[in-house]
Amino acid sequence: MALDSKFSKILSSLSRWIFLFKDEHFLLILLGIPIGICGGLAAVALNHSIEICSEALHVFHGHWTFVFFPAIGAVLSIFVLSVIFHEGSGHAVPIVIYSVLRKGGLLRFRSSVSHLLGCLCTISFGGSAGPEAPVVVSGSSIGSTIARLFSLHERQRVAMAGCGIAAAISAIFNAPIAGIVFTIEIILCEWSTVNLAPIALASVTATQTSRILRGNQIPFEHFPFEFTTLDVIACLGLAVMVSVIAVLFSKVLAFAEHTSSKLASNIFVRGIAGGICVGLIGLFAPDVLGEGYHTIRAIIEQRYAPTFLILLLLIVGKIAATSLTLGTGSAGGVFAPALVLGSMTGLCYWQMLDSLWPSREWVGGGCFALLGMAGMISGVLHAPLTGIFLIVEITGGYEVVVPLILVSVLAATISRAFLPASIYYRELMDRGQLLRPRTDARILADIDIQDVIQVNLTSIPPDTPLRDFSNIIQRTGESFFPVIDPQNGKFHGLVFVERAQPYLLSQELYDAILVEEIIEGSNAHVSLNDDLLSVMDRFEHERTDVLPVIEQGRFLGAIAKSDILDQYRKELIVQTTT
Amino acid sequence: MNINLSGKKYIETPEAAQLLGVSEHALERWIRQGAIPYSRSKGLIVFDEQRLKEWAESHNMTWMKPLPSEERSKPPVIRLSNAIRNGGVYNGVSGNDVESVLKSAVAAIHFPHDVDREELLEKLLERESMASTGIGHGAAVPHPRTSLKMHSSAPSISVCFLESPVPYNAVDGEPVFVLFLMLSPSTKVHLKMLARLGFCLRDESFLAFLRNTPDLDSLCQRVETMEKKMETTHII
Repeated sequence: MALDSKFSKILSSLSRWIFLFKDEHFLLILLGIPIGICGGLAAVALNHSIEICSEALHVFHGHWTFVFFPAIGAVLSIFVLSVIFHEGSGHAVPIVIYSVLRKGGLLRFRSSVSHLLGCLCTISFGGSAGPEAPVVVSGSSIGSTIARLFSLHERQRVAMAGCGIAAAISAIFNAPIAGIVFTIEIILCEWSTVNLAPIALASVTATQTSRILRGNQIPFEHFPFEFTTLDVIACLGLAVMVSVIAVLFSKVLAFAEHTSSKLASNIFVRGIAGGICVGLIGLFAPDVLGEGYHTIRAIIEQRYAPTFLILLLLIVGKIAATSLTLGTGSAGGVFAPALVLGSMTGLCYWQMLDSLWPSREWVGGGCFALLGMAGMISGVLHAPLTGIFLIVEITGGYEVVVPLILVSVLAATISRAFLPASIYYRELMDRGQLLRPRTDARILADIDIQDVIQVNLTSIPPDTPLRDFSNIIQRTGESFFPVIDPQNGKFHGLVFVERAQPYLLSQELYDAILVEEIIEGSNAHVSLNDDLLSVMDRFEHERTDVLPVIEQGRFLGAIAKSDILDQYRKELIVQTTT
Repeated sequence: MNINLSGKKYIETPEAAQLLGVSEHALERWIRQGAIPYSRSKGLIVFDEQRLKEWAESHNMTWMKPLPSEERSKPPVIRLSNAIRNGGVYNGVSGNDVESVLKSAVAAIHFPHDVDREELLEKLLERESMASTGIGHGAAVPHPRTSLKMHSSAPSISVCFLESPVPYNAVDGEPVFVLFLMLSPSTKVHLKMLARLGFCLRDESFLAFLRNTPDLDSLCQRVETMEKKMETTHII
């Protein structure tokens, strides 16, 4: 008896656990942990590998042969990406955003390694690129793979990919909030309670993993700052300057990507040419090479103080080196270069202030460098929250938060005025694939012609006299009919009862008119794979409510505007409620 | 197909798509996205009907119960000849204007018990006062505007040949010699019968046949042959 009750107790608690496991939210939160660990490991592994390789190659720094090193790195990186892993080249975050927005977070497993290796080659040989994007790709690919292992559906898979992204950023910068904010602000583009909990947990796990392996170090040390009102006002100027550099950087990178693909069709030739240019720049300004964390550190700690003019040249050099590295197909990201540019711009601005008002004691150059970094992230990525939280977390100080918000928000606003799409979104926007959740374009993109096609229509042969046609109308009660030749299946057009009314009401014409003579003249049609956005345009353009669907000359059915509206409404409901 | 597991009613994708009024293609996408609650049974995607209904209600989505089988199957053919058999043929109906003719027609016809003759006459006159039902060629189709409360659901047409033609304000101004008094259970049936009657009355030879005041059987036979013709040519 006692045994019996004990047994049933165990069973009931077990079933409660299984129930918890079956619950969507609980399962997702649980899965956030392994993804966080994997993302953290990927970040630490890449960081360590870059350090080791850069260390090994450091002996060549300053030697004239170093000119060729970035080219070697580019060739290796492109070889790893294109030949070994068959991946697209260049900075990879747009791939992740596309997958999250359009493919339900589906990413290949090999992406978890390919970009890491490619980026390792790029950065350790001196290419100017950031390690963040490859870790983001790696993390999201791990998340996507785990989601597939548990056969989760698309929404859950997006959450899992988001976990990987948050883990990557959190682990690299030892900054859990920045990881969460980056994921939601830039990649997922929507807040939802279902996503937030697992992403937060992955973020925390990844941070902890990286802390265990590397120690709880703040990436960039800083001294406490004392901000006066005048300093805060001076930040307005910094925001403007940062925006100018951000817009310049985005445009030059876009230009480099565009022209390099035009100048050389072979990806290796492109990579070598870009690499040699980067090497030449590096010969005169070695500080622009690599991911540049040491430069940032030196600037913030005020160990690094070149003159104003040299700083300006360094900024130009960094923009050129990064564009030549990423624009010619090497693996890597824009995040770290943007931070470097931001710190240089901040220091530059401080020097300008200092020389204009030498009598005044401005807050330190390191502080302006930090503000510049936040502003640059906001300006380049159009993500002010990410900039704010990243700087607050990586410096571990809240005293900068007021000017930080000011600079970030202003920089994002100003650069948005000049650039409609950020570096990450530009490519997708050009392809018409930047479809944020819950927007008209997204809903139309999700609806297929197959969702709304009417197939069971009564077709009539073209030589039907009007008399028979009027009988067919009476019998079927339909409002339009496809005219199809029964012999060869050729589609002649649609006849609309409404438009045939003038003839139908005069019975003396019943034998004088054939159906083919009252077909509407336009031969506008749609095919099965057309997207609804262009189909809606065609409806407007043709001023009709019904269009035939033709595939390889065969009539498949027709689509009506009213059916699309019906489906649109349902799709809207499904997408906006969870 | 219904799969019964633990007392719940499960339905498959085609039926669920029909109930929600979307295509199967769209429903499959929602399943893939995880927008709709479903479960799996032996590798097959199934929906708990009750849960799906709740989901549809919480999402302001239409829930289309399939039509009852009797309505979905082809509607019964309404035959003019059957309606005339129900209504009967009456000769020598007297009167010299619309009102008196209708009055004696209503009095003469053998209606079922539940038909209130006074109410019927009132309704017929009300309809005539709005617009004459004389549809030309000497025929009129008096009928109430709204269907009467009748026990029987079968439509009836009582054919009344008048003693002498009566001016009826018909469309062509001709005096009327025959009334087709129509009682229908619904407007749909009424229109259907009217369409068929109209088709018959367009025929010159049928009108000549009517002028000879035929009896019930020969009238019905004649109408039947004409209806067969309509049905084979899909006219009405």
